[in-house]
Amino acid sequence: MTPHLADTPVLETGRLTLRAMSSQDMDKATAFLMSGRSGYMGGPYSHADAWEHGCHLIGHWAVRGYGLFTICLKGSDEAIGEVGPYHPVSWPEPEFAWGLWDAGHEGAGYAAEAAQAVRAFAYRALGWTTAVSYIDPRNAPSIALAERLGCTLDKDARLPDLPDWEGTLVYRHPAPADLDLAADTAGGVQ
Amino acid sequence: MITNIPRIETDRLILRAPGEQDIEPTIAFLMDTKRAEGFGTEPDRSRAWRWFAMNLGHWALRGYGYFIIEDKASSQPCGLVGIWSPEGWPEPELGYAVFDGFEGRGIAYEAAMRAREWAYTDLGLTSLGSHIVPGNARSVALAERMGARYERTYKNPYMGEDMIYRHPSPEELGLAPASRQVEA
Repeated sequence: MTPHLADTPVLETGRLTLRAMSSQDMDKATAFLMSGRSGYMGGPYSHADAWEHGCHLIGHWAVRGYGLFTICLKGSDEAIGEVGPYHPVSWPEPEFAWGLWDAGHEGAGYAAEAAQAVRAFAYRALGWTTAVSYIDPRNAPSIALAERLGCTLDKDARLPDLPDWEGTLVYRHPAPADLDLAADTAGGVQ
Repeated sequence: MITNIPRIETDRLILRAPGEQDIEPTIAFLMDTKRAEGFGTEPDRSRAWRWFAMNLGHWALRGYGYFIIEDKASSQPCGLVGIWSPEGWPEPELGYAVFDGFEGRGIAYEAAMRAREWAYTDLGLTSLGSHIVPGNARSVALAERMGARYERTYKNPYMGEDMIYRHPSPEELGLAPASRQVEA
């Protein structure tokens, strides 16, 4: 059998299906990364670099056991964005990341709905007790979303020790207890 | 969570899936500007970890990627060997690298010979090149020892000018593809 990612979770919300990013999402993911819409997350990328970035998001699942989900409107398997727990080695703590790949899907509350679902998943199934979101100070829609999700600016949080990160805002998410979310007793995903 | 990366043995080596214990040795190699110059260096831990994750994604997307080479005697990861074809590569490449402290023992040769056989028989690939930056005499010597010959130079998105050394075909090596083949 060909090597593949297996046993990844699928999350359902009222309007959305969230599933692990996979090969079928690469064309749309790379198109987003090559566009100006990725400007607040290190883009726009070259085609080769966008492919590598998308590929590493899939590999993140293999390395960490969790990773970014793609956001699909219920009834469709076509991804419109990405959301989820993200923890590369240089991050001082785990993050919830998000991005809608197309301006046409903004303003409908999809990102908030998706972020709440992955946050509940990380607190319950992964046993996370806290997390941040790193946001470019010019990214007003993302700041508004963080505030809508109950996040507060954490001026004491450490930033990844990387070039060009100075000035990045760190929004701290409400703790599981603040959201009435307890970790599953089983603890962690397999 | 990623399944079915094969485990292959040679006399002295195991070619296997990258795991947690291989992250730091791989990062150390990729950030070693001298040793990884011909393989492709990464400027910081962030980028090096991204490469490690990307390799696992490459396995999931392509059905192949870099194995970790494990030294049977010490059970240590001692290098990378595999088939590589990210965006921007003209064709799948047979790549190899040996970590600090494991050079000069023929490890790359032993691993690359086995990986080539695997790619021809198990993946069903019909042609393979190794891509070598001009000036990397050690890599050229290994490719030639494997029977590969210079074919052409192309522009790689990361490495710039890159020479393709063409390996002998499966027929020339007397290797027939197994029934199982990877989709193109």
